[in-house]
Amino acid sequence: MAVDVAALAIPTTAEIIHSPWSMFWWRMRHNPKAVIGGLIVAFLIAVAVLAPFLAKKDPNDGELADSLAPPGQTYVLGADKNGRDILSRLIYGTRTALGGALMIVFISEIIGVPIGIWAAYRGGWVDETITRVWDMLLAFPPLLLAFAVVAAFGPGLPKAALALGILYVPFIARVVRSVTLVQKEMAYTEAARALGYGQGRIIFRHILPNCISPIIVVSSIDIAYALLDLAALSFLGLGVQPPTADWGTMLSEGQLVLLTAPHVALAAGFAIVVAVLGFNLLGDGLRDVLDPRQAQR
Amino acid sequence: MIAPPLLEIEDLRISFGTRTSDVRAVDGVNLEIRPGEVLGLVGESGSGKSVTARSIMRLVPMPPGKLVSGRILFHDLDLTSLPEREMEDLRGSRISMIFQDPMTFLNPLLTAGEQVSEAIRHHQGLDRAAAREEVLRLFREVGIPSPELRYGAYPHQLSGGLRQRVMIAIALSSRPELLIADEPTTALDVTIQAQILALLRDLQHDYGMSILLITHDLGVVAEICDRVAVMYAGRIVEQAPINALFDDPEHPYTLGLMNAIPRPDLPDIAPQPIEGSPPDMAHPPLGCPFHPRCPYREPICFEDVPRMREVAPGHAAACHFAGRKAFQLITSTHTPAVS
Amino acid sequence: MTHSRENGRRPLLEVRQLVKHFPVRRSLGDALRRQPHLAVRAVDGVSFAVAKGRTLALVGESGCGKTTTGRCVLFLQEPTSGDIIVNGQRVDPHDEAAMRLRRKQLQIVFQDPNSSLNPRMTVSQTLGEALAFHKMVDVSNRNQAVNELLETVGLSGRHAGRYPNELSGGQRQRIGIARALAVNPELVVLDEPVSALDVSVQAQILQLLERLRDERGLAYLFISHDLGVVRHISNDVAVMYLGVIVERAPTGTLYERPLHPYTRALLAAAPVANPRLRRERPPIFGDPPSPLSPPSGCRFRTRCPFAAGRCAQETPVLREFEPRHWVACHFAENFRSSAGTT
Repeated sequence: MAVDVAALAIPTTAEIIHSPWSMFWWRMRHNPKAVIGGLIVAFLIAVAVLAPFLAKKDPNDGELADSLAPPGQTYVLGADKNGRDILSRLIYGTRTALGGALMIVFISEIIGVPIGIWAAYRGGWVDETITRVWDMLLAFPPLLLAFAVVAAFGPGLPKAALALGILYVPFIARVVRSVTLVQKEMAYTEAARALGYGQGRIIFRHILPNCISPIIVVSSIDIAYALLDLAALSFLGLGVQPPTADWGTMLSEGQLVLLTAPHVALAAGFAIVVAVLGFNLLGDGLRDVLDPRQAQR
Repeated sequence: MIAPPLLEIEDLRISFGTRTSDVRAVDGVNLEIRPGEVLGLVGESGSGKSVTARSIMRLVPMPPGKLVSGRILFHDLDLTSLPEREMEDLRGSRISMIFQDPMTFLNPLLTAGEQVSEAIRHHQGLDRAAAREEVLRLFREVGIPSPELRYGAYPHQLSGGLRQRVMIAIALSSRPELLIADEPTTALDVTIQAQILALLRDLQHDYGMSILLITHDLGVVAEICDRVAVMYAGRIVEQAPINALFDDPEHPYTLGLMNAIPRPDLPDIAPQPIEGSPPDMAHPPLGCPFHPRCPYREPICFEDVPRMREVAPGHAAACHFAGRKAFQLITSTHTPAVS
Repeated sequence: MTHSRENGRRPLLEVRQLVKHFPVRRSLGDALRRQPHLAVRAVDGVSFAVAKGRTLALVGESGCGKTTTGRCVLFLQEPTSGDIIVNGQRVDPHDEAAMRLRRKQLQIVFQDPNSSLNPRMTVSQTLGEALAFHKMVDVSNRNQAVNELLETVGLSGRHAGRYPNELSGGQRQRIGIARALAVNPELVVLDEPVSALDVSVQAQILQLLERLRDERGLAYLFISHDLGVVRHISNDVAVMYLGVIVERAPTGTLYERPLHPYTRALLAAAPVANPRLRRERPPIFGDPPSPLSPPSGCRFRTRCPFAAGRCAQETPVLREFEPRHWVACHFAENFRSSAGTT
């Protein structure tokens, strides 16, 4: 007595459809690093955007009479040697820090992503030459090279950001190159070629979207490094120039009065630590979540 | 009569906890392996056959796996609760395993000879010179030509068939009582596969060991097994001696598999597919796990999980209608064909 | 030797003396010592033809060159030499317009359902792109066209919005087939289309392929290592070994009266699901030689139980032994009389 299978279309397994987005958010919510890092980063972004509303005092103008005032009622975190409110300067400093770091990473990617893809596609001696150049760059700490560049071309945020941006190219280009090399051999890339799609279309519509995950992960970790490097340059007077509020310069100023008025340096240092930690955690969390091996649920 | 079993698996249940749900990879497996027999464990992907085999050697990582219930008895030892040190002593000596892909099993940085020698010295405590002699003897036994030359070869310098032979040599070096072979020929070309199967059959004969052969290929099973167990959705759905299974399959899944494989020896019969796809073991169907795909199902199949029902001596199937319905086998090992 | 006129029709696809060598880079030391350039001779002079609506199976074990041949037919690999002729016309791979047309005539389905679909694109995007690129339908009809394609391969519109990781292996393979069909090809190269699927699903896909062929008059070049799978679906079979075709015949003839020792060994080696037909000994010994330096003369001689002196000195030519039955063996005569396998 055979039964008509099609007629009895009773679903026996739950068909839960998860789009990649909803799975991504689920995983992000359940990953502690991503959650903490994400919250910190979100907080920083909010502070940067809402700076004018949050800072009660002018970050660039101060009452000299209140120079190095300790934390208290008038100045929540105290004042620096020019009498400027440290809290307000920290808040505005978020803008320069994030803005500078984002600029650096942006520059490195605008240059690095195309180079990485090109090296992977051309192969041969082009690829070899490019990777050797990267290896040379990577052998030096970016900071050292940035000193040299900035010392040669003069200080200031834009030049420092440009110099660091160029030096960060290998970080992103290497990753993009590896991913592209793998994608090139995948059957769906061959299928695209078999359908006659041109190389441009294949790169933009098929290969690049698959590079997004690793790019995001590298970006957030690079932002953390960029924050640090930029702060270091500013600390040495080669980056952001006074009177612009910046954590690095604040640290530098605070260092001089460390024993008498530690609150200046501590506040700036703390801000740097939190920001770098936040981006690092977020980057780690994103890497866990976006790991393709976890794509199978 | 029948000797006591070498290995007994009792109501084994293993689950894997993923972030969204619990997957019941092995859902109540009862199996025994007798001394000197080749038992085939057949199933498709997701049937639980690999997890079952690996759990014998406790190679299933726990977490994420967890042993929900059941025991595995080797002679009188309960492998599921054995201390790890004793389990290590057992692995590679009394129970050995060979895998599907020798390239990932063999260390690419050591020569073939060194790897076999290491196994021999670890389990038998021979010195290097004696071990080397034993390695060469093993190489000859597993059919590796020019053994002295191959002793110094690295895995990437050997062909797939030779690498598989090296893996077999390692597994045999301690004369195990039980050899677990997990899809040992799946990745090999058909002509090499035939060689390896013949080799396994000869070695089994010479060494008198038992072999648990895991495969998805009924042809491979027909080639060397004495008895067969068919797995579906984490359970054993049919067990029988080899001829009985092919003559009279008593479970619709076994039947479906046989009807689905192409038979070059029966040119006029086209392979018949089984409708649908294997179940999602995170949300398995109620009742009989095969019922959504079964052309013979009836209302009872939706509700009750069928138990193994003996149809003939040594032949049992987990179907409510085993032995009571005439299932239609389009191909048959009887001649003339069953209609 | 030509295959040009089968049943008086000009064949849809004709491959003549296809050669594909992959050069192996020499190390600096070798270059200095003027060692000769080595190459992997993947395909070494292969010729065949496929007529409209017919299925030719290209069978062989790994390394025989069947996959490379399939790739060369579509110019996914550029042949080292030889001609690929479609409907009587050669195409210059650098002629973009002509190649675009060629892409619509010849399509391919790949072996691995896991890597054959872009994981970031939904089914409807993957199929839609193919339809849009070749202007198969205009924009307003595209969704409907996608749904029709899905139904043709046994799926439905509700699969359109899914991503590949939400589909089973069999379903992904169906999408791969749908993608190939989107441009209405005349011939589809099937590169081991069912090898990566479970047995129960293999039969489903084979049935689908047969139905599509009958409905659309498609020609297939079916590449496989599994002789069982091709028996039912193919009209003709060509057996390859180490870059050359060693035997070619209509399907029934090949299975019943194989003449080349390699074909016979291949047929004998395939495990049969019948325990009463167990082999006593494996039909063939040893491993295949390296494609970097194939044996002189007949390539199979190192594993052939019947090899003689002549086999090392003289390369056997593929000759038409009986009508439409081609064999490359000096001693094919002797095998004609012995009974066929199983």
